[in-house]
Amino acid sequence: MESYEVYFQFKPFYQKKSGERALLSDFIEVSAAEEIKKQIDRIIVFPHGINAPVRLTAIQIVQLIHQAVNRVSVIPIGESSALYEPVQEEKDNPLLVFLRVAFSAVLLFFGSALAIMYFHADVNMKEVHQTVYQFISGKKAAQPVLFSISYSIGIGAGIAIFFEVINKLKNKENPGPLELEIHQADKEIRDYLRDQEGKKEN
Amino acid sequence: MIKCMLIILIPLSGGLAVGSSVAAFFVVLGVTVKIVKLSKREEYLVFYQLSLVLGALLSCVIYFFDFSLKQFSLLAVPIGLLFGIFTGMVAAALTETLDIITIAVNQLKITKWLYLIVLVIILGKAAGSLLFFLFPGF
Repeated sequence: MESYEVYFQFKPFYQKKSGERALLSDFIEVSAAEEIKKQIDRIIVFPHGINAPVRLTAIQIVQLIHQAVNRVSVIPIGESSALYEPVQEEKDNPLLVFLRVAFSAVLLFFGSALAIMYFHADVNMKEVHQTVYQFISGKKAAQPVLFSISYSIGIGAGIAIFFEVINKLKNKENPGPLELEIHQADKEIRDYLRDQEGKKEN
Repeated sequence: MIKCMLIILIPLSGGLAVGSSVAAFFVVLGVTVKIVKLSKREEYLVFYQLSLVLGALLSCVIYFFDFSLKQFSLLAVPIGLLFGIFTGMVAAALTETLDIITIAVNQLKITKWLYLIVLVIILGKAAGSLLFFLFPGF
């Protein structure tokens, strides 16, 4: 008997919450004969669902399909592996959400204001600070101490926010922007060495 | 009539150029994206865009009109803090784009101490800013 061909590709996102039973059809899209497709879609991968991010490789999928269905040749299309996370249940305090959104909006508001003012004053920061202080308090001050101190603290806080320092202290798993950068650099070096190696042999 | 039109048209086009280039600068640096992600609510993007535009308008109010809130000196603390956070983020974005920390850490083989370096940079920036604004003579 001839063997049937089964093509599959990884879905970009996992749609179920943690704890829900995960079928193979949650992870891949299949193109095959109607009967075989139904059989494949019914394969259970994780009976108790996934709680943490899960990495699936094309080889694992091929093995799973071969276990359930006989006489098929499985052909992956596209990526060779994919990472799936369960959908996070929204338990956010609405007040907290509002505060976060408000903070972001206000930060953008004052940020763009400051940027344009710096631009207009040819990045004469001192003059800009004096003008802003005069705008706030109505007094002209050569050195708005209060403003300068909070500004300086803010600079530190801004860098910490950008590099996700607090996030890093809480959860060591998630990469910050710097770790991504280092990973990228390492990858580029590896790619370069691999390509050079290929050149030598030919 | 032509004079009047020119007086309106020239600053308008100038403002368009300035506004769009500032917006482009922030988008390319990824500062706005970072701030929007901070709220974890990408669906309110309209608000964020609106506050960017209104902020730019505020700067014009401060700079071109003789207008003052008067007697709200303590307001300088939160506003200064917000200004500082934004500036700090722009500075951090520039360091990141230029790969300074990454290269330094890789060359010195101290990847483990990455966040110590970030911490030191934070302290240095804050100290430098304090020195610049408070010490007379700069």
